[in-house]
Amino acid sequence: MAERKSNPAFLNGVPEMLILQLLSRQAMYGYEIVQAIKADSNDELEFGEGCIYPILHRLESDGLLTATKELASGRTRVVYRCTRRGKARLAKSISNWRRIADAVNLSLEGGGNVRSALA
Amino acid sequence: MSVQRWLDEVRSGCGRRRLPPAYVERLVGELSDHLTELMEDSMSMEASERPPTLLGSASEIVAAASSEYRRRRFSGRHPWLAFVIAPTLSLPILWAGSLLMLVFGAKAIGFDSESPTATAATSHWATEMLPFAVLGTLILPVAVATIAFCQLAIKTAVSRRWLLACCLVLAIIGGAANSSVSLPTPGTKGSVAFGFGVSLPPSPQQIAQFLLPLLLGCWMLHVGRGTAVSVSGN
Repeated sequence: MAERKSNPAFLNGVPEMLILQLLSRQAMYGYEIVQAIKADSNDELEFGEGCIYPILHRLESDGLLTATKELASGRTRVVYRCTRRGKARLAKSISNWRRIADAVNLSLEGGGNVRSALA
Repeated sequence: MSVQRWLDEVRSGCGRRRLPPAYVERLVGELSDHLTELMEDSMSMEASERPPTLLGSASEIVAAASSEYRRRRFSGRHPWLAFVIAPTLSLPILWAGSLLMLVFGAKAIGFDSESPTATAATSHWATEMLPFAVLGTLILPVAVATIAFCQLAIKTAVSRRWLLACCLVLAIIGGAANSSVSLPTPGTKGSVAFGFGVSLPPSPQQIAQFLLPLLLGCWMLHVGRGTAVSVSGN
C-alpha cells in the first residue's frame, strides 16, 4: 500500500478551524474527528492522523475545547467539546478564512482579466 | 513496524524533546485508542502492522506534539522575547531590588553612613560581613534569574539552544557587573559602589559571575535530560 502523504496546505490554522467547526456541531473523540474531516472534504484533506491529538491538546489548554473521559460503546474515550470561547474563535477564523479566500479568488480573476486584455 | 514499537518511538521521541511525562502518556494513550478504532473499522491487521502509514511517522507525531506544546505558552511562541530580551531586562531590575534590600538591611542593623565612628563601634560583625553581602547582592540575582528562566525553558519544552542562549546572556551581563566596598573606619565614611565593565585580566569575582549562569544552565539541562531518559525508559 502506498504511503499516505501529508497535505502541506493542511497547515497554519486550518486544522484548528476544521476541528472547532466539527466540535461546535457536536461532541466527538479524536478518531471521529479525523473520519469526519475526511468525509466532509471527500478525502481531499489527508494528513498524519496522529497529528490531530497535539492540536486538540493545545486547543484544550487554550480553553477553546474541553475534554472529558466518557464511556462509549463499552470503551472509555476522551470526548472533546467546543467551549463558548472556542465558538468565538471559530467565528473569527471563518471570517479571516473567507476574507483571504475572497482576496485570492479576486486576484486570480484579476490575473485572467489582465491576460485577456493583453491578448 | 509493530504498534508497540511505534508507540515506544513516539514516547521516547517526546521524552527527548523534554515534553512532560503526563502529556506524553495521554498522547500515547489516545494514539493507541485511535489505532484500535482503525483496526476495528477496517477489520484488518494493517493498522497494527503499519501505524506510520496511517497515523504518521513517529518523528512527525513528535514534531507536531513538541510544536503544539510550545505554542501553549507565550515563551514558546516568542522565544526571542522570553529567553533573550526578558533576561536582559530582568537582571538590572533584580539587582536594583537586591540593592534596596541591602540598603534597608544595613540601616536596620545599625549602619549609619553619616556617623561612621558609631557604626564601626556598634556593628563590628556587620562591617566584617559587608563585602560578602555586597557580593551576594550581585551574584544572587544572577542565580535567581538563571534558575527561573531555565525552569521556564524546561516547562515550555523549547529547544535547548534557547536555554543556553539565555544562560549566555545572563553570563555576559552578570560577568560585566562589579562592585567595590570600602569599610568605614574611625573618621572616614565607608562606601559601596556598583558598576559595569570588565578589567583585563578579569577579576576572579567576575569570572565566577560569568561562569555561574553557564554552570547552572548546564546542570539544569542535565537534570532535564535525566527526566527525559526516565520517560523513554518506561
